[in-house]
Parts: sequence; structure tokens; C-alpha cells
Amino acid sequence: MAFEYSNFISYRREEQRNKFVKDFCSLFNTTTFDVTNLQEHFLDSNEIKGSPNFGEKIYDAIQKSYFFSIFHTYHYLNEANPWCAKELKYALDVEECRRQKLEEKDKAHFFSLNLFILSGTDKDLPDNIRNRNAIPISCYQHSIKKKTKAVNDFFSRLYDFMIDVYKIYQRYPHVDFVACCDEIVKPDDEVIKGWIREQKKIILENEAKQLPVLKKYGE
Amino acid sequence: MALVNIACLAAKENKKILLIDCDLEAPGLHQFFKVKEGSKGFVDLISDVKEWISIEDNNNEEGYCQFMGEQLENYIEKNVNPVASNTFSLGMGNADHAGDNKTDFDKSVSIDLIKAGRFDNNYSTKLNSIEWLEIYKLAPSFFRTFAYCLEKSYDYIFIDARTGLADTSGICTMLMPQKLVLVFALNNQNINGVVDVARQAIDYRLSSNDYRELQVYPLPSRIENSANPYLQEWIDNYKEKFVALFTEKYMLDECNLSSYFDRSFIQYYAIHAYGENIPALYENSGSSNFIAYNYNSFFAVLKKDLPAWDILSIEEELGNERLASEHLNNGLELFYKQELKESIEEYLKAIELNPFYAQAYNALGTSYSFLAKYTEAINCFDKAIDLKADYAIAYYNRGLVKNNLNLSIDSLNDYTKSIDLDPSKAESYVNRGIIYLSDKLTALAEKDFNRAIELVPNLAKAFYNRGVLYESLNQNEKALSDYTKAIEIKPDYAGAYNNRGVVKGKLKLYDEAMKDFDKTIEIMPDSEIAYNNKGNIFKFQNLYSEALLHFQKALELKPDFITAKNNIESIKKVN
Repeated sequence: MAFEYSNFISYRREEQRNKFVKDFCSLFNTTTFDVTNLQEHFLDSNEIKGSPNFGEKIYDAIQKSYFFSIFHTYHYLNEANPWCAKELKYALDVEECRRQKLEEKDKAHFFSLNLFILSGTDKDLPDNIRNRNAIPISCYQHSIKKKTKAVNDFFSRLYDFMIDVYKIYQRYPHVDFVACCDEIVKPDDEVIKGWIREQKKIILENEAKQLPVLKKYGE
Repeated sequence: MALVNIACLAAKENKKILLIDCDLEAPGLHQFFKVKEGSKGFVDLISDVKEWISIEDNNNEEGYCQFMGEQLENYIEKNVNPVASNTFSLGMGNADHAGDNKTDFDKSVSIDLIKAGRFDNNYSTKLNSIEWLEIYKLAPSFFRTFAYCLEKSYDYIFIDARTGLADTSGICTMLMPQKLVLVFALNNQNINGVVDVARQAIDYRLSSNDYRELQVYPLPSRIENSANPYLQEWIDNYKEKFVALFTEKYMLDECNLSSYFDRSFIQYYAIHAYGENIPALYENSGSSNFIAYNYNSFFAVLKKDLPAWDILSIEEELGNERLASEHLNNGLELFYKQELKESIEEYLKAIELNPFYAQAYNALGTSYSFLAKYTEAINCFDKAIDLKADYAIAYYNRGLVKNNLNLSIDSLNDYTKSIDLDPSKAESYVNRGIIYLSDKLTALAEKDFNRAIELVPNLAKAFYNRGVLYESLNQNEKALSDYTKAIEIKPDYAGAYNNRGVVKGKLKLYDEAMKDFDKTIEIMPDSEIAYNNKGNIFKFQNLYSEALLHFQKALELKPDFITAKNNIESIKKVN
């Protein structure tokens, strides 16, 4: 089976950041296209969430994407609507499954997950992705549309990182990286919800440590 | 004072305003308004919140929302009117009140207020007993949730706070706002202080769990009006510091704050040095000789919802507005030529140049709706209404789209709003009447069609729909008359011919009915309904083979036309 999407984008819509994410994604999609030569990316739009085969479409799209990218916010994990968490869990399993097909020398460099932090810090990330060099991007909120030097540098670095991962894919023409994930078990709702509760607790504990205190000038 | 003045300007625009006095050590907002003695305020709110969240089940976002929903009202003084002292100073009001009294000022401006507290004997004890950071540690998302909840009920919430090193300063600058206005005077202590507060607030927000962007607006105040050799030096001083801060924090290539600062400053006028006046309510805001001009200018900047470095000069803005208007007109021309996609491009250019152009959003929505892009269309009409709350045509257009999406209640509400705002638009009555009719609210429907005809006596659509209504009530003569009138007005009204043919058929006027269906087919050769109806007239006259031919023609034109299929079956059975 062939890849159909360059990238699967997973984020919870939050009105005030949607515009920034949209602007960011328009540059990001260009980057993923440059890397993979695949025009199509997958954005789990609200429309598809109403459709009866929503779950299958999502898992299928993750499986058929070279990359999986998260825009993490406080509300990314949400017990009432655990879809983002399910996407993440499944994407991690897909990544691991693909990694197992690689030689040892490539395994350590194979990361098909991109983590962007829209709000919060890397400490707020779910425990299974906390130490994966997540990139805070809210500092680009005012520069993304202007395509400033900082923004161009950022996407240039991102391109370099992603092209290395893509080259790993290319080194294994005999491996079907899509079909190899057929047997991955879909996440269980109750387990996921329990996990979300635990993660939310951690996030709040972290937030409590980040005191809103103004310090004296120069300190 | 700046905060109250700007809040009053917003209230004058019929926005829903809440003021919160968080300057707890030196509260003063209540002095500007007519308030009740002894009512609760912010200190009481926080004390009660502390108790509420100490119960574990309440200490979560749902619990905070519940608290707000059930109890917040107890801390808000609703619809307070501004009062003013020193009204003599500008010849306002009755000189008898001068200096020694508060005078009712402007009852047309009303604002909701959360005072600092009750100001009774326990105020300072209560204030000193609040452990702000303990509350924060116990419920870190409380203040954020508090802000979200208030945002749902108000257009603008203004929080008055000091930027000193008090705990509430951190809460007010880092946790609560979307827009942080830092008012400062031109001295090193003030400038360095606010730059540092801005830096800390930006840093905090960039790494916080709050999804809202924080916009920082420095507001130099007490700028002396007279020529002063030091003024430019100090302007350059603060400008340079904020440019450096924004460039660094937001990774900008360039940051020009000249236009922003040209429009954002408060001059010093000795006349306002005394008392609690609100010159924004009575001074001429069009003249730069008044402080109201400064408030108005800054409020216009705030409303743009743009970062300070994206604020244009007034001249640039006017130029953009002119260009935007040209693009809108180009778009409209293209729209009337049915070049919808091209019209959209023009409207988007207009919006790019003037993001507050309600008419461009409305036009864009219309093009989208003609392309059946209903979600995009509704978003555009929403935005148009957001920008221009009394925009009747945008409500009407949104009603049309919602009706297409079968959202009849929403559609009805939009038509009603459109009628409230512009009772002279006949089409709104007709469309609302059609919804009433489909809901079998025939009396309301008739009233609306009648009103539309009163307003526009040659509105064919109104006669046609009233004809449909009368037909549904078996008032066939009235229906016949209305369809005839619709045809008189609009001689190519195929639907009216068809419906009149049906009524004539019911009245057994078969020859005349047949003529109407023939006319329908002449105007609309693919009208399967007219063929089917013609078939029925033949059938009523027992002319089965002719009837069969017409039902078959109807089915040929629309292969899933169930009624025609059934009619064919029934003819075959008879034969």
C-alpha cells in the first residue's frame, strides 16, 4: 500500500488560535510537500467528525501518512472528546511499528511524530511524548504571516529534520510502511479516558508551579 | 481615568461592558459611578471562591463555571451610570453642584461593575487575609476560567490594576487579559517598570496554558501639550524600548511603532487634574484640543485587535479604506455578471485592506451562498453582523442561507431580526411568511404576506406565496386571484401559472388549467411537475392515453419522480 498523505495534523480547535494554526499549516504543508512530494495532507476537520465512519477514516489516514503532527494545547487531551488522544496513541503505535522494520542504525533517528506546543510547555505534554524535543511555536504567532527570517529559519530547520526521516523511509523500498501497521490495535475509549485524567492532573500540577508573580526589574 | 473613559466610549457604542476594580490597595473605580452602598466586590468574590474551591468536588473547571453561573451576579453591580464631579469646569450641568457633589451624568451609558469590595470596616482585614498565590496553587486554572466565563457575557471587560509588585498585579497582567494596556508617565521608573511588566506578561503567556494571545499596548500619559525640548527625547526613549521588546519576544524582522504611538497617548490637561471626570462623555472627541480626542483615538486603536506594530497611520488607513471600497465595487460588478469566483477574489482583497469592512463580508457571504458554500457564507455574515450589529441585510442574507440548510428556526430568527432593524424590507416578511407557512402557522404567514404587499404592492413573490397559503386553506378563489396578480406583475412566473393551473383543476376549469400548464411548459420546458399536472387534467377527463403520455414525459424529465411513477401505475391498472 502506498502513502496517501504527506502529513496528518492533529489539534483541537480553539477559536483564538485557529488562525495562527491555519497560517502555520499553510507553510508547514509546503514543507511536508517539499519533503515527501505528496500534495495531500490530512486535517481532521470538524465535518468529518460527524460522519459515521469517522474513526476508521482517521486511523486509515494516520496509517497512510508519512508524518503525524500535533499542535498541543491545554485542551488537546479532553476526556469528553478523546479523539485527539486516540489519534496520538495510534500514531505512536504506528511510529513504533515502522521503527521495528528498520535496521538498528536507523531506529534511533526515525521520528515520524512532530510536536508543536501551542500553549503550555513541554512539561505539559503527555508522558509518552514529553521528552521528544517538542517545539514551542506560540512565539511565532505574530511573525508567521510576515514570513520573517525567524519563521523561514524555523521551517528550514524543520525541513532538514523531516527530510532525514523521509530518507530513512526511502532506504527501505521493500518495506510496506503502510500495510505493516494493519494489525495495530485501535485505542480503547475507557483506557484512553483514564490516561487523559492522569495527564490532566500532571498539567495542573505543573501550572500550579508557574506562579503569576511580577518580579522586580532587573531580577 | 483612562480606563473609565475608554470603557464609557465602548458603552456609548452599545457594547456590553464590565469594569473590575482590582486596584485593591487603592480602589477608586466606584467613584466614577453611582453605586450601591455595601454591595459585594472583588475581594468578597475571591474570599468566597477560596471557600468554594476548598471543597474538592468544586475544584475543577466545571466547578468554577458553576460558581460563575450561580453566584457571579452577586458581585456585579448591574447597569451603573457614570457620575461626574467638577461639572462646572466645562460649563456642564448646574453650577450649584460644582465641586461638592456628584452629578448624574449620562443615563444612556450603563456599565456593569465589580467594585473592589464593600469598603466596610472589614475591607482591609479581608484583603490582607487573601493568600493569592495559595488560591492560585490550589486552582491554577481558576483565573483563566474566570476570564473565559466573563468573555462570554461581555463585549469588553476592563480590569483596573496596578503594575507594582503586588500579587494581584501578576494575576491582572499575566493571567486575565487579552489586551494589556500599560499606562505610564515619561520617567525612567515608569518606563522601565512597564517594559518589564510587559516582558514578564508576554513570557508568562507564551508558556502558559492559556490559549489566548496577549496583545500589549503601551499608553504614554500626561504628555504635556506645550512645546518641550525634552519631549521627543523621551518619546524616542520609550519607543526604542518597546520596539526592542516586541522584536525580541515575537521574533519580528522589523517593528515600527511610530504610527501606533502617534495615535496612542494621553495628553496632560490641567483641567482634568481634579475630581473624577469622564471627558470622553462630554468633550468634543473630534478636536485634538481635548483629552477626549486622545481617548477616542486610543479606543479606535484597541478595537482593531491588531498588534501595536501593525497599526497604521490614519492617512494609510484612509487610503486602504478607499482602495477596499474600489475592490468591493469591482466585486459587485463581477457578481452581477455571475462571475462569482472572481467577485470573491475582489472581496477578499477589500477585506485584506480593511478588515472591518462589514459590507465586504456581507458581499463575500452572498457570493459564497450562490456557490452553495453555505458554511463559508454563514461565517461571513456572522462577521458582518459582528462588525455592524444593526446590519439588517446581513441578517436577511444569513436567514436565506440557513433556510437553505433547513435550519428554519435560525432562519426565522434572522428574518425577524432583519425586520426589527429594517421594517421596510418586504422580502424579509415574505421569507419569514414562507417559514410560518411551512410550520402551518397560517395566520402569522398571512400577516407577513399582507405586510409585504402593503410595502411593495407589485411584489409578485408575495402574491404567489399568499396564493400558496390560501390554496392550503382551500380558499381557492383567493388563491386564484393572488396567482393571477403574481402573473400580471411577472408574466414569466412559471410557478404561478402552474399553481393557478392546479387551482383551476380543482375548480374543474380543465381547459383553463391546461392553458396554464402549457404556459408553464412554454416558460420552463423541463418542468416535470407541469407535465404531471397536465397528465392529471387528462386523467380527470378520462383521457387515459394522453394522461399516460404526459406522466411518462414527466418521468423522462425526472427519472426518480415518484408521483409520476405512481400515476403511470394507476393508469395501467385502469387500462
